[in-house]
Amino acid sequence: MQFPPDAPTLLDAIAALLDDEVIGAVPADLQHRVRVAANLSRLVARESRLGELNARRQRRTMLAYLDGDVTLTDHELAAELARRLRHEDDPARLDDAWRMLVLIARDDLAVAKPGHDGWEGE
Amino acid sequence: MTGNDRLADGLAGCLGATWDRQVKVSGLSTMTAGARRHNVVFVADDGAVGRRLVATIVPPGETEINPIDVEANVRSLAEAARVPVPHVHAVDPTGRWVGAPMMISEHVDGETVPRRVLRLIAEHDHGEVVARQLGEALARLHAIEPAAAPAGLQAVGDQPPAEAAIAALDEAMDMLLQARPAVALGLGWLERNLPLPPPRRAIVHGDVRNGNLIVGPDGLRAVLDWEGALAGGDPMQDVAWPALRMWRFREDHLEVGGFAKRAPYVAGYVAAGGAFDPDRYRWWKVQGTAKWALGLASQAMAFIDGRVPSIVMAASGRRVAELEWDLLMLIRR
Repeated sequence: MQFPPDAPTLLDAIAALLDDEVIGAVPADLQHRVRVAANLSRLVARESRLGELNARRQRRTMLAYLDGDVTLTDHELAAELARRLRHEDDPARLDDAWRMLVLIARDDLAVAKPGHDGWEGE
Repeated sequence: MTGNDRLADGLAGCLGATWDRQVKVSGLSTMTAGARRHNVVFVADDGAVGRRLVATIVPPGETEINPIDVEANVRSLAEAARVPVPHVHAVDPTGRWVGAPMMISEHVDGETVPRRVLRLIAEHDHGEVVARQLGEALARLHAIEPAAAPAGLQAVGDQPPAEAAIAALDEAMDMLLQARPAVALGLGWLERNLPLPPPRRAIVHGDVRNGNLIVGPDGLRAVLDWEGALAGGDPMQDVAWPALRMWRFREDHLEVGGFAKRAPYVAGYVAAGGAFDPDRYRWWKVQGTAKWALGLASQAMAFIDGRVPSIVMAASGRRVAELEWDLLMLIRR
């Protein structure tokens, strides 16, 4: 077991370094990429905190919708779900699918872009 | 001789051959560039006048959607139809002058970086003016006689544009490394809500949005980046694209580019002769959102397989969820 700080804390520290010190010290044409790197460090920090929990929850949700085979991997479940949704036309099943996918998207956004799900307009 | 000297010599040679006189090139600097192409601003002096110009250079090995000479031709066609564009001075599709295909056009002052565009518009309080001008520009483009499309311009073909768009998205879905159920739901929605074909097909730009506009204190000055122009398209494809949430840059309540609501934009489009159809507009917004979700996924794949080893491409994969959320909001009942 590693001595602290833990991985997400280290990634946050890397992001702070990139944002606070490195951006100002590099040429203009490199600054955008440094900013992207800082954002990615923060994102991966969130992923290491939330990723496993989200993956388990998403798996349960997909299995429940599909009444699926528990031996399938997460990717196989997503592929089966995508295959069925592409041609689903039962309105009730479509509504259920929409609600399920909103929950999954909220989980993904909690990692990828917190707050993006605050807008529900057109 | 430095790389910049060689580039200056090549640009001077190309302009000299086009204008049939001696040209001196100086003051080269790289502009804030797109992810794929290099834009170099410089001064060209032919002894009578010094002009600020921009060379758009396609890096070797880069896939072009339309060849750069075709792009230049469609841009000139749009210019003749009074769409604001930077005037094209010279084109070299062969790479003879600078070692890569390129186009040289007039430099137009103004802001292009989306957040700076939004700051400028807020400062001058002319978001509605810019939106109206953008609507007018699109209507003028769409009014061009379809038969005038330059030879070699990519085209939709005989299939109705919406059906062709679904087929392209299905193909892109099949290429994904990981299935995306939300996008699959969106594709199903597109098929169930397929619109009637447009009453009139048009040359469409394909990527008009905040980020491909030059805006000044007086309003819209130019529409940039015509490389994805398409013949035989549905005009509503173009009208819907700048209204995607992705191009609002956190100004979500302002549907058009984060700087205006829909009304002045549509008013400009209609006033300049465009026929606005709210149903097809919505359909193309859903299509555009699904398309950009898959576009981001494909950028991430280009990083994973080593084609484009850029951290920006790598980050695109983690942005797919944003588009999935937007897609779900657009198709909710």
